[in-house]
Amino acid sequence: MRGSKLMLVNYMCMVLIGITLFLHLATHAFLGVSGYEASLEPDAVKGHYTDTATAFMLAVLLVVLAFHSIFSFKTTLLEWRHGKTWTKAVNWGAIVVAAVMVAFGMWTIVAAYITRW
Amino acid sequence: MDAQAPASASVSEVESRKKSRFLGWAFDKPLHLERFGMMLHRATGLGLLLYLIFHLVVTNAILGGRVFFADIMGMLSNPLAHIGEIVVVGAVGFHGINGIRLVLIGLGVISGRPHRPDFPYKAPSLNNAEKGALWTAFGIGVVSVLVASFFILIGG
Amino acid sequence: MATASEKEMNVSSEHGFTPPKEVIIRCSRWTPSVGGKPAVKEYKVLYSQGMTVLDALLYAKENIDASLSFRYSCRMGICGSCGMLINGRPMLACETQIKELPPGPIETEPLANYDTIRDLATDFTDFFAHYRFVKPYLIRADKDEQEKPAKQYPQTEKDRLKYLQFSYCIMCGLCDAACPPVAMDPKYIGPQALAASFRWMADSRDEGRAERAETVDHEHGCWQCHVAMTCSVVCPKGIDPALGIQMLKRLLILKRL
Repeated sequence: MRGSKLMLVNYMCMVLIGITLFLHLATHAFLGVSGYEASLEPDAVKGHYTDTATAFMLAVLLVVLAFHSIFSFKTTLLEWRHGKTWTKAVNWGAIVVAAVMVAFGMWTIVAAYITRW
Repeated sequence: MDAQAPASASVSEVESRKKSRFLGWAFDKPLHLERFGMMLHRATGLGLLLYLIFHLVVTNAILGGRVFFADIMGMLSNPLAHIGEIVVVGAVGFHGINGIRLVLIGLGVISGRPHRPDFPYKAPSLNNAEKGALWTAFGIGVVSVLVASFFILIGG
Repeated sequence: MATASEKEMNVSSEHGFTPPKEVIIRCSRWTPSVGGKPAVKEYKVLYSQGMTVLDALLYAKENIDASLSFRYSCRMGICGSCGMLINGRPMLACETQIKELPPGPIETEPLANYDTIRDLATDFTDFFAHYRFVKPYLIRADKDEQEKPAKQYPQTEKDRLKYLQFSYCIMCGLCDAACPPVAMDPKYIGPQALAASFRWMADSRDEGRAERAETVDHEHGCWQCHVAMTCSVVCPKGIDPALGIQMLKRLLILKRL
């Protein structure tokens, strides 16, 4: 994929991160809760996952963060070492790690959304 | 000296004998505001990636039930962890605002415009808008630390 | 009124500057093809009014050590040959006045991010290869017409100003020496070549934008720039390569939208 195409996707991810991360941090400070400690109570945390809007926001945040962080880290790794084998390993490794992050995080979100205590 | 690479060669065929310096460049001169900003942006990015992985693992504990999650949160409810969380929020504040600055520079919004260079050759890209944005990023980082300290240590 | 000794040394103590009688210039000495490690050699140079670092090196070479090697040509900041690290910073030796440097020994080293050929002279092979790679020449759709043009290619002053500053590049290589991604990634095209690429992409007479975009739109091209902007800080001619690279990124992104 062309550099500019990937970077455009990265830019869009950055914008989405800005919105969803702000909302995520707000839900642990003042939005819907009365303080940080209260927001970390098991019921409060579970409530984030069982609420459809919040769960969707978390899912979006997970996907865009996974892309942005792994894409940027991949660039750093390719600056650290060079060569065709390393480049191939890093490119494929990045896809795998991002997929694992998204899968693991989605499992948490979906399972917490579905199950009831 | 070897024959020069043909103009049609792909970049991968330009054989380089240079040794790369992964970290040594950090001590090169001149060290100026934007270069320091770049180094801080990279450091906060790497730190946030590590935190993200840790955070995904910890939040997965919610699937273990009320008691298990409360135990995990209890383990993480110590001064060191709180300071770590405050640092993370500060890093998010700086990295996020600096990221917006980098996007605006990359899209040419605050990068300045080409002009006729006349002595003493002030570079358009090193303008007040981008410096202001960088100082804003530093400021937001500090403010994020203060706000996070308020909510985490004192309680909202 | 100048004293006899001041007249002899051709210096003056006006403007609060007390000229040293001699300056110490420390040069990195190494010939990689012979082996060994870089060593630093000191030369005591008799100071004269308006002396530049290049003047000091030439004095050292002509009067003390003829084996000292460095590049120079025009001595007036237009050829770009005498780039080196002066007190750790990439600068042109011919444009660096000794009296503008902090007091004390002057450290000279070969440019960073380049292989050393000998002493202060570095290998520009990769630098020129990257420059050729971005096709730094006019590309017209009709190649035959370009070879035998029937008339001038008109251009307004406004169109010319869009790329003019990037055409003033003297290819001294200071920007590549200062650039962190160049230090890390040997395949990175570098600020000089990228600014040159934008110079041609922004030229209204050029019709090779798509062809040129292929040479810079990849992970070792303009997207490897992380906006450290040190290239623009060190550029001696006000080219502002960082601006050229950001304009290039803007062109490529807007092409996608």
